[in-house]
Amino acid sequence: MPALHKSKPSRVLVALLLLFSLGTLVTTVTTMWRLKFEVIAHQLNQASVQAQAFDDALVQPLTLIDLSGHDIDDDLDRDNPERLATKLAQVLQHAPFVRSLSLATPDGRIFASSNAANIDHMLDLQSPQPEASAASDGLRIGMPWQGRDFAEGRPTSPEQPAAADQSGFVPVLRKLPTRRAPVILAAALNPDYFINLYARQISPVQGRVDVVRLDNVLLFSTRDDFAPGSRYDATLVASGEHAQESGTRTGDGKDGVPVLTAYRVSRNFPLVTVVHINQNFALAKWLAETRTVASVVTVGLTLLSVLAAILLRRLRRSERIEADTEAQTRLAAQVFESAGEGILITDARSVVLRINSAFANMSGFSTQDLVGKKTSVLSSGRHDEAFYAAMWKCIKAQGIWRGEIVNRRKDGKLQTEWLTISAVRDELGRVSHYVGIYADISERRRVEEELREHRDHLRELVDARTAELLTAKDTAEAANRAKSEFLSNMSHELRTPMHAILAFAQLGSHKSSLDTSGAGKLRTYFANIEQAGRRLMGLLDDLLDLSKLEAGRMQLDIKFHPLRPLVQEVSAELAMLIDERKQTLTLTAEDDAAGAYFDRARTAQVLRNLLGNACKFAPKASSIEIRYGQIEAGMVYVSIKDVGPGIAPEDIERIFEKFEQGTATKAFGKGSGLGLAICREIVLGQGGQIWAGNNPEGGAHFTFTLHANNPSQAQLSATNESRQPTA
Amino acid sequence: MRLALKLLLLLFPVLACAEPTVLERIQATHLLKVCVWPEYYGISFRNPRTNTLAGIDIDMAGELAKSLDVKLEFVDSSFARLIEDVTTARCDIAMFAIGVTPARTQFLRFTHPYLQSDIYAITSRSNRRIKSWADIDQPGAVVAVAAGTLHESVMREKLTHAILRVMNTPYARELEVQSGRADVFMTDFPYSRRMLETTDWARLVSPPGVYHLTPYAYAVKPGDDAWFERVERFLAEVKSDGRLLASARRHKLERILVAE
Repeated sequence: MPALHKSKPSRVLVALLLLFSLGTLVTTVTTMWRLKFEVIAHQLNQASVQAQAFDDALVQPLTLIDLSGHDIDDDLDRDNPERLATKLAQVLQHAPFVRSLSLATPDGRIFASSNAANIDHMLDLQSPQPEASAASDGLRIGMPWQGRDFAEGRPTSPEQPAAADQSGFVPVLRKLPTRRAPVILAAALNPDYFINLYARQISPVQGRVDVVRLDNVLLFSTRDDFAPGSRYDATLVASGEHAQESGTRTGDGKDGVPVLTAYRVSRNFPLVTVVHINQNFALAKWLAETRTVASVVTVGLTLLSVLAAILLRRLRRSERIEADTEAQTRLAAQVFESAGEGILITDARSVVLRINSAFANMSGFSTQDLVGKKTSVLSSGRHDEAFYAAMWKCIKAQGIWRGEIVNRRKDGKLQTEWLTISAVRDELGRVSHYVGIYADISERRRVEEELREHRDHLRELVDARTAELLTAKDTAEAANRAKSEFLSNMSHELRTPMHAILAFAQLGSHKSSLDTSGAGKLRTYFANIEQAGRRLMGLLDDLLDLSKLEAGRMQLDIKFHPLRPLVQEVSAELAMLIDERKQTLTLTAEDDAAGAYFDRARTAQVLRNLLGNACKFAPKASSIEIRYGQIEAGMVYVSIKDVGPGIAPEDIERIFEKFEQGTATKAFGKGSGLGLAICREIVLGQGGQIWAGNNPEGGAHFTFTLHANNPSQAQLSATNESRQPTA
Repeated sequence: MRLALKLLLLLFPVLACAEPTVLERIQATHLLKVCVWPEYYGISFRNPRTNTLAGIDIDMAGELAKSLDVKLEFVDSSFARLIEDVTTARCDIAMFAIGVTPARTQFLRFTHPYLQSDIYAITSRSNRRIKSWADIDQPGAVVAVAAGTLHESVMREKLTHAILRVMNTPYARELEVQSGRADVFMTDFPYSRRMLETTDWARLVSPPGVYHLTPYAYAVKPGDDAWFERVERFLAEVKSDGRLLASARRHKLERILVAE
């Protein structure tokens, strides 16, 4: 039933439209049909009137002929044919409906005529109607003749009707009872006169007029192709007791065309005037109007159908929308009922209208418990007035409020809930409902509390451990500082006795050189002591430098210096060693004017160390190359490349560590393992970088970079932070 | 003797005026007598409903009288009586579109033509024999003409097969056709218009081309040059100043107007 109810408007509309269209069609068809019959009836009536008028037009000339017979009879002088002819011609002067007037003997021989050519021609006395009667001397209508007059014509018969292209006439005979012997007056009735008269009223297109003798012989017709003398439709005019003076009929004509026929039987003569109206012609106007009406109705119904289709489509669309809305409503109701969260709907005054199952389960209240009551029944009393005021203020301002709230269940227990309240507005923007969605978060709160407790405990543990580690770190750092200070102090303290040792070794060596007696061995001893002492002094200097660098106590005097003098100076310092080893030193300046900010003495120390290592580890008579120039924007580099054993891949990363030596160069010994570490500290302290690598053609290269522009403190700090911990 | 001669000389003009010209007589009597055929539709037709004459020649006769500054009198005539009426001075001039034929030229003096018409045939609408001009001169066909008209002489000459029937009056020839005793009667353009406009049984049969063009003019008695010249001058004036054309248009005769 609901489905039927839903589709009712469109069905009713369709039914109404169909009914209207059908009614319009039926009304139109019946109206036009009725009009058709009215037109036919009107045409038949008009044809009847015309038939009567045509009959009158025929009867009057015949009556004149009849009357002229009396006139001639009174003045008949049979012995004077010329005078008779003149008399007859005079009668014809105003009678265009008669072609000739003749007088004949009772046996039919013409003895006087208005047309002299007719004399001695014979009349046909057998065929005229009505048949001759002694009691009557009225007009008798003969069979039509073909030809202009009796002299040149012949009587027709149904077997030999007149030719279509020939003129003809109808003989009209009247017996004149003269005093001597009877005389027959013969008038050649001119059919053309009547045909012209009738054709003016009814054109050949419109129809035709036939004049028929009562014995169904066609006398003449307004149609050329209807031959006079031929047999006429015997069913038209009933004879005998069923004879009618006039009548109408519908049916097909002789040529199969539907015609409307009216006839009139002449009152005094054996003649019937028949009017045939072409039905198609008669209905032409009606047909045109019918077509117009049909067109208008068709257009109207088409327009109505189009409008109905549009309306129907809109109706169906609204029905679909309604169905969709209902489906959405059902879906919403299903979602409402099956939602996991509790849902509570109130009116604008916070009076509960509906709750879902989840809310009932959550709160313990049934629908009956809450519907019609204010939501304040759920209040736990845990929140003050300010809480609720802020909540409603937010809802009014933003249309929604989300927050945690503590409500009271029906059983009195408190329940923490995550509540979302949405304001539902009507089409005028007024709040019509509030929808509250409740999520019971009591369990979540309990778990969160537990987690919070665990987190707090863990934090305590972490704090304790951190404190321990910080203590250890401080201890380690203190130990490192103590180690550095120890090394510094020790280096410093050892340098003083070492100076004394060296001084005394030099003195001993000098003294022993003065004493030539067996003192060669002693000199050798002193020389060994001095050599060992100097090596130890170098080691101590390195340790001292390193400790200062690590402790940050070494002051670097960073200024701008050109590179070329520095490189040339260091090269000159080591020229002797290079010469000893027959090595070749090549200086390649990509940018001869290149310069950088650096501590000149310390940078010379770096370059000296690196070039010294190259001389030391490169084979004799090999080549060493120093190359310098700009490496990138704002940075210059200095690179020392040799063709020595190179650096083992595993050593490349740790070769700059303290007390580390490359595996390939260990065999050469003599190193403290502090040189490269010091180099790195100096370079990093100037904001540069230092790295080592192997050449593709063999040997190693060491490269360090320096700032071409005055480095900021930040840049110096950044590079310093990248140094490895020294602990 | 000298006195007698002087008297004779004085009387000579009087003797010369013993036969006054038509123009002099008109001016003397202040009356212009014009012969018309009152059956000539468009030319000189007397409307039986009002008994008033109308037509191009009624207009022109009025103009001629006006130009002569004399009164006007119409004298009923016909083509049969035309020559007699003009030569016996029954009228001063015949103004009813008289066809210039050799027979008439023997007795009448014609002005320059002002109309020109071919010959047309009128038959009955219901006539089954005559469908076109070629059906007229056929064996068995009967052609009616009015006696004395140019059509009588022309058709007598042209017909070879058809029977020519000469009727005494124009009406008689119409009756012959209407009653079926004749198939056609021959007439000119103005009369054919009358038949078509005033009867409902007549049907016009036109020649396919030019059959026999006849110029129409005014006729006066021969031998009176002054009168003839005066009429010729009048005709030239009405041709040139458009009065003839306007009248021809009024009576729907501009098709047959000779304008030069």
